[in-house]
Amino acid sequence: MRNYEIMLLVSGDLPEVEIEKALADFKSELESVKGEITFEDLWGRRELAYPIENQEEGFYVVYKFNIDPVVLPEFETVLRLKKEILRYLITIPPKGSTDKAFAESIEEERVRREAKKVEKARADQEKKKKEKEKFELKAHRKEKKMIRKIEESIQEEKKAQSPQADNEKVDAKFDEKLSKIIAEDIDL
Amino acid sequence: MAKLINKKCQFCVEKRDVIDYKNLSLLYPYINYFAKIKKRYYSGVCLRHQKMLARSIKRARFMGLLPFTR
Repeated sequence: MRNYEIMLLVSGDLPEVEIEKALADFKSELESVKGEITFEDLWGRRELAYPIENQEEGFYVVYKFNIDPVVLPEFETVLRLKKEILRYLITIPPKGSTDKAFAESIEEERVRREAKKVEKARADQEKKKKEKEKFELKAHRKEKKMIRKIEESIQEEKKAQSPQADNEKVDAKFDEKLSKIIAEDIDL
Repeated sequence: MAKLINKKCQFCVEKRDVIDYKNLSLLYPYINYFAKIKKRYYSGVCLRHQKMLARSIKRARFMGLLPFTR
């Protein structure tokens, strides 16, 4: 016994009652070869991507079933002869596949993906913020450095200027004294 | 149409071992306007996942879920 997954494409031209009948027929056919259905997922009517046997619409069903691999080809021929089944696809379900309605699992995945996107966007924003802060900090430090440098240069200039100023003062005093002495000399 | 350098395989990033042919929203980004399978040169998918992708797209086409051409 082995687990298989089958997707049936039932003719969309048939009314609902006949579709149900076709599915019941499929089940009874499966039972006749000692197969058992473990999972059922009715997708319902869907528009076909391209017309199959001049039909624009189809009814999709997904089953999972256990069957002996030896009788599977026999079962397939039975399926092939059925007129109401347009197409079928038997696959081996991959490891770790869950028995969830597919619409549900797709919805779950979509939600998960969106959540991831939102998370990523948030992370990106935080990164940008951090970078901005870093940049601002750097700019702030640079400004401080510049201010310090300017101050230092001003102080150096002052220092450089101050002895000169002193000399000038001394010169001025000398000049005064000299002029006084000269004046006294003239008086004498 | 140059290959985007440093583009990683999206399936490898998600660590996906299965690409289901029923998951159409997953397949749509990898077919072009004419519903042909995009070359991995353009989509950046790794070889392992490209093979899985191609198989599932072909299955979906057979079942009338995806078009062959447009």
